[in-house]
Amino acid sequence: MQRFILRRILWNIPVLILITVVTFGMMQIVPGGPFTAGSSGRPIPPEIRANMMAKYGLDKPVWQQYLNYMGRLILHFDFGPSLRRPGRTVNQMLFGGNFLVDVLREHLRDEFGTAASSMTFAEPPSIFDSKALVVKTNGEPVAYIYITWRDRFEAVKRFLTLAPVMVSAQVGLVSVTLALLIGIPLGIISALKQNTWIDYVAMFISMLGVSIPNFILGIVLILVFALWLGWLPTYGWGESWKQVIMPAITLGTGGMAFIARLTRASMLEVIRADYIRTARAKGLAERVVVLRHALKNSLIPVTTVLGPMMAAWLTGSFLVEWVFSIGGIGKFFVSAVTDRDYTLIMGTILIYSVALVLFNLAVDIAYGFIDPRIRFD
Amino acid sequence: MVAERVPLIQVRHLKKYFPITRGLIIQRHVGDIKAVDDVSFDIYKGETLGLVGETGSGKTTVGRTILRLYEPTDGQVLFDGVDLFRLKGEEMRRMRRRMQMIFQDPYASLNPRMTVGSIIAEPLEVHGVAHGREKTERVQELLRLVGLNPYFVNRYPHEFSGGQRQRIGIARALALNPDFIVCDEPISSLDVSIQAQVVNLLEDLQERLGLTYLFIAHDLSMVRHISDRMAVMYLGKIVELTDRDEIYLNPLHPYTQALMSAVPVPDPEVEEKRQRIILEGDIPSPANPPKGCNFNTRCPVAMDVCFEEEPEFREVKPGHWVACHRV
Repeated sequence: MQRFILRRILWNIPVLILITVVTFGMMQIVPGGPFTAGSSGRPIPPEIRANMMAKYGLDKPVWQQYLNYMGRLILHFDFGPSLRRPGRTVNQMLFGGNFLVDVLREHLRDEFGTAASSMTFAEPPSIFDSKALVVKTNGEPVAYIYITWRDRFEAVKRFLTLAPVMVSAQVGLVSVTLALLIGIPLGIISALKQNTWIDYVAMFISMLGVSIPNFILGIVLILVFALWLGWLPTYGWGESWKQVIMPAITLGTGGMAFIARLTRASMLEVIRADYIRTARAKGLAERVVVLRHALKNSLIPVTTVLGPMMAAWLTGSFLVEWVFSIGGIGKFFVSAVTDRDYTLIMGTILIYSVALVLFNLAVDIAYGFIDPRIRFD
Repeated sequence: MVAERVPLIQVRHLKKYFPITRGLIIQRHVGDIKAVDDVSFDIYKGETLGLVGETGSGKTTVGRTILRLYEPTDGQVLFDGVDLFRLKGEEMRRMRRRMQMIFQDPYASLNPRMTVGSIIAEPLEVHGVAHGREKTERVQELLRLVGLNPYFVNRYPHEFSGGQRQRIGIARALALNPDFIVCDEPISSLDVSIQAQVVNLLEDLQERLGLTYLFIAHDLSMVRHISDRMAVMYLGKIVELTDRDEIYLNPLHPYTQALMSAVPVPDPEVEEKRQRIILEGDIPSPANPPKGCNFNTRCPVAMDVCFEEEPEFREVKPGHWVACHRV
């Protein structure tokens, strides 16, 4: 088991490297670049553009750009500066920057008052360090600040709740949970009541769920529950449980419908299996037959689709984040490409690839528990 | 074995129709597939009744309907005097302790996700027969009884061969100490070399545990080997029912005669002279059985009356029942 997991993780390293090579190459092939047009839409004069290209190292050969990028990424976990949002780094945009800096700055303010605003850190602090050197803006050392377990905990907590990548993951996780909690029972019921009105109603609902586009559902929900009824807020995330409801429904409906259909189809196949008749002949109650014998066997296909589905949803949805003004990373998947913001494109693609690799690994491990016929060796 | 002749199972006018429906929104009932159409017979305590017939004759449906794995359309099944079809959910569930089934396909009839131990132990749990240590011991005893190593309890069905799986199915059926077991073609999906083992096991268990079998099969020589009496089904009806030797030596129904003529004889001289009666055509659709005698479309000796009147299933000799106008 451990060997299987370790081998799969090691195997995925070359896969991820290949993804970076292909993405990097494709960005260069696509016409246009980050500085083809200014923010106002007017063309940038060639001399200025040459300067900007030089500043970001885009004048060098592609292979050198790639090696520079990968070097910074692997050695410092640095995704580089955003090419279209001056002063912002991709790390800030995706991960919300360094939350430990914020935590330690609060300590400095308690200690030095307003003077703290002119202080900074000699090196970016990390939760693996025990202390950080505080310096003035001119480089003169002021003091060491010791990093406590409480600071580390606080930084991790802020990362988990506030980082854009985690906000997207939260939205995705709530939606997947909703999709499973409704989709699976809906599928079971319509399979057990196949070709009755219950089945037809359930499948009609799931057909609607698949065919209604996300943003229309989101806007209709806002119209009804926020504007007309005034029950729920129209936007935001992470401040109140009320903000969770509409984004979760908007994102979860499609998956719920899909899972319901999948569960139904697979359940229909399983409840006709001979071993289900065996279970009935044993004299089991119908509830036990369905829950213990049929359901477990029919969830294997659902588990299969869960891997890619979680990867897609937990890395953010452009439409849902846009409709509900949620500060996740979903919007970057579209804007980075239209802006030709090379570093941001690489960042988003890498996050998605890592998520896909991890969730597929989780699914493969889960198979071993669900289906004893699968062995890890 | 058939000394006392006390019926354990009495089947009376059993019918099982599967409805055919048409229509997009409103489903109209346009007809029935008469899988079992008015069948009556007894199974005596401790005997093996062999049930033979070609594919689609309804023999499996008879077995399943007797155990109420299908809901019957009409008729009565008395099990030790109790009318099974009148029992409600919980009563029926308790009754299942006494009647079990061995299924045809040993691959599909075991839940792939349960260990052999839990497959066999589950009936013990749900009927509250044995718990804890007692249950474990009973499972091991059952595995030994069917000739499997008791250490196999933690393995999964896919780790076994077809013959071993069928033994697991038999152990499962025996777990609750049933009186009556429907063996639904238990050997037809096994290799010939394994078939004899399983049949001998079934016979051995019958002797030791006093079981009553309904043995459904299409392999005539195997049925003859294991049965005390045999019933022949054709198109949802039993056409002939008598002792196994009588049915071989003196078959009365033309369909039985044709069937028996198809059994090879392991004696070259007799085999040389054996006359095969080849039936023309196929078995008619059970949705639209012919008028009169069911067999009239293929019967070599059909008379006018056979196309008009349905023959009565009657006892022509003591213990020899047949449904034919010619007899």
